[in-house]
Amino acid sequence: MTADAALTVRHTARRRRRTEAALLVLAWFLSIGARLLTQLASSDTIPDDTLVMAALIGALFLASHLAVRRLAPNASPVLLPLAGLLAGIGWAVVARLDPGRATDQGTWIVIGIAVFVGVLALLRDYRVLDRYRYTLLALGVVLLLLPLVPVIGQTRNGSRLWVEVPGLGLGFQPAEFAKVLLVAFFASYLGERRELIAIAPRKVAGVGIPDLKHFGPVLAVWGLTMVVMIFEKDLGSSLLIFAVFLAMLYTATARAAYVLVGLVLFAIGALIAYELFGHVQTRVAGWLDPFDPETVGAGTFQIAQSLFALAAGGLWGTGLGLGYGLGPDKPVLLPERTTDSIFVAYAYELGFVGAVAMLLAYLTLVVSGMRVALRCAEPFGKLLAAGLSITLGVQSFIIIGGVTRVIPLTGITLPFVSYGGSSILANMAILAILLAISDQTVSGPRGHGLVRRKPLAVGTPLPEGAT
Amino acid sequence: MNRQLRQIGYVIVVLFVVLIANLVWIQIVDAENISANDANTSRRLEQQFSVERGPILAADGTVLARSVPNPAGPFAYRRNYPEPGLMASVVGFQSLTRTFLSENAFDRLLQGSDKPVTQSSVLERLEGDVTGNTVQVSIRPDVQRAAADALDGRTGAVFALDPKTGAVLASYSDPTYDPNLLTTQSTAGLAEAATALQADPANPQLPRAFREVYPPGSTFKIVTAAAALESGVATPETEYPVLSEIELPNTNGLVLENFDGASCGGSLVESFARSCNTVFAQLARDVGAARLVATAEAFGFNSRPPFELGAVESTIPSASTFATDIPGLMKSGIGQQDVRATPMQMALVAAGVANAGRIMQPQVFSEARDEKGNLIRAVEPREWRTAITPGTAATLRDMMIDVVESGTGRGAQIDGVTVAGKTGTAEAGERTDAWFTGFAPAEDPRVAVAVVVVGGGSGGGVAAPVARAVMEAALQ
Repeated sequence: MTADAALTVRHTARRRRRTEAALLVLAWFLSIGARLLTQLASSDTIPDDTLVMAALIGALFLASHLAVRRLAPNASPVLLPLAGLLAGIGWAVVARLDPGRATDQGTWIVIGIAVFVGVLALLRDYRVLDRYRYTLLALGVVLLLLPLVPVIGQTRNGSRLWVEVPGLGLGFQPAEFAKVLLVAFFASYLGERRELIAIAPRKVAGVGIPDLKHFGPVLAVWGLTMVVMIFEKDLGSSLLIFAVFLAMLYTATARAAYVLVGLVLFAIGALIAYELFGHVQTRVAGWLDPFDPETVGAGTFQIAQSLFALAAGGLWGTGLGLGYGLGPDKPVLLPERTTDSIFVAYAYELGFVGAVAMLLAYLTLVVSGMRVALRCAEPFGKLLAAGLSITLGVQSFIIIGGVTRVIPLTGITLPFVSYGGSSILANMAILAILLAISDQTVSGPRGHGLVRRKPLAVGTPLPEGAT
Repeated sequence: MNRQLRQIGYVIVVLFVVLIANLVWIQIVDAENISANDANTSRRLEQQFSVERGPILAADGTVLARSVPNPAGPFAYRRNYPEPGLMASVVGFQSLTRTFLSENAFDRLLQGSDKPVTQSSVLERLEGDVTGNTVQVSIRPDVQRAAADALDGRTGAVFALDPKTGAVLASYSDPTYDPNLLTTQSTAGLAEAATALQADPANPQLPRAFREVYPPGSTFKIVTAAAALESGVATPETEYPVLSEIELPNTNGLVLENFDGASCGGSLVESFARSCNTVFAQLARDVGAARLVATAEAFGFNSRPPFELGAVESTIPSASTFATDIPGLMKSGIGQQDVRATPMQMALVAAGVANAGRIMQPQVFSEARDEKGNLIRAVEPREWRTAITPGTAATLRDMMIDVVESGTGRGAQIDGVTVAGKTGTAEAGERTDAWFTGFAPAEDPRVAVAVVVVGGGSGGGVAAPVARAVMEAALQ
């Protein structure tokens, strides 16, 4: 790196970190404001713990900001504040909906920030992940299938997606972590093989038809997601992983044929699942006719109550803490209010205006992640950043679309907002990886990581090859 | 790969646009419809009864309905009706399961849910202090009270309005009931009270003034006379033979008699004042079905009056029905056969005559104000229909003055006030219903009224004094 280039990089870094700090202050105000409003809904005085909470949230934001300054100074300045905003608001909403879960969620956010800093510190050169391709795959598959193991695997709400070692009392959702590992594996595998896979020896009606043997990966991932769908009944995770895989495959190969075949395969799988499982039929029925008098009190209760809550919120919402039927002391009408349905609770109390604000926050987060991918010059980093960003986008769409009746409801967490340790930790790790890629796209790999590598020349993008 | 990434980026943007569009539909466009779903009872009740619903006030400020704190629960407020029996047929009620009459028609205003969205109302919502709007109606308690006192428990109804504005001054129906019985917040208690009221053979919940029809009898002769005058078939001076009965054609000698079999006839004015059935049956035949029905429809028959509390249609059969039924046409000319009218409709006939032929839309709503007293909405008088020409209206007015001064309607006379009116004694199966419709003062009408006393007997003897009391109260 020349002296001039190094100076430009430092200048960029300073500007970016200043922007990040300013945005974090804004996110901090909004998080504190949200928390205060939820508390003022049920009390006339400002709660005693307000200053403590303000200090705590401020300290968490400051710690993560300082970590980025130290470990990824050139990284995009909007990713961390957006995640911080979503987590801060999410925490306030979880605390309002179920005060018993407030401390838990806070603890998970604190640990999540530790994970965030840890991942940043470990990924001094994110391409280290590229070298552990099959380790990532193996770990990912094992985690994904872990709930099927007798004794530790547990079924909750009809889905077998929970793992808990008996006696320890501490469980987690391995799929949340598996998705990160699998995306990293896909990025590594596709980054290397993309040209091979993209070869289309024959053309039918202008569409290149790839060699049949390269459908192997598509079939393998399809099989994996089918196992998740059929044996764990975790529709959300299987849909998410398969959709992200198809998007990454398309990114790597530019072959629409893969996407088409993939969609057909998934449709077949979904149809089989529909035929086999009552709970899938219930979800589809709820999507088609949530207010069917026969089912509205039972099978389609959740989606019907979601729609009632959204409609009751209207344009402006009831105000935070003032929604009816959200608990904790009034009757609880909205099932899964801190997890699946947290967006509904939020959109009820903050109205359409607040809901759109949150959707735009997610969209900005995803688009910023995609920009990290666009700027990254080497295929692994590009595909990894893209895959993780698409994961955030698709996951948000699946759950928000599910609870607002755009698509059939499949339970999955809302990134950064839903209650739950696995979700918070996995998404904090995603955030850290995106920041590492973003940073190292500008500066090249940093020297003091676990693995030393020759720095990548700045400004000389790799050939785009078949893309 | 960047080209594909951009494409995927666009797809994700489209997905989020779909989410937002869907929320526009659920939270804004279709929100009311979704909220009204039967399965949403619990939240709907909470929304209805956790805010202080606005009061309903009479024209003089008397509280007709109000929300009172309900510490016993389950909800924060309960409805209360300080003038229960007197105002039930206008105010209606709000129970756990339904709203009725004014409580239904002005529900959104009272609930405060159609306030304009301003900064302050958002803040109020945040503070949880949503208060409903105050709705003032045009009902005058003194006029309403006069109607109730004059009916004195007899089954019947009174409808009175200002003919120049359409403002409803009184709408009373007997027998009545206590709507406070229905404000219980116990589901079981409500079901019991509602069932008992519905099972009552006297049907106290029926607002007879605008939701029930009766044969209007001779009060309908105003319409028949209007059709004759407008078409030139008759003038006030046209002479008719003095008869005690008239033969109905094609009936093998069936006859139509005058009231009490009296001999009756002379000029149109005299025949109207004495309410000669023989003359008006002949007149209906002379005018013809087409013109008679058209005139009735011009007065509002065969269409639902645009009344906030929901009125039923008054009816006359179509003209073609009478093509082969001349006796039916003749009986219709005296308000019998299949002619049916609400007291409101007959009051509107009188109001049309009083207002130079133009019938104003009957409206019970006066204005709505928010809890700070800011005017949100005020009534705008509007014309419903033009029934007759001003010339015909003036002629009919004079004929109706004669009815009260020297004819069958003398019971409606008020000292120092010229009253115009028409009596009716209608055969309704086994019953004889007493009718009166009219207005006062005739020179500058301020009140038009219709009275029916079901099974009451003679219009002049029974209904005219009730109308007199109501008009007298209205002119105070």
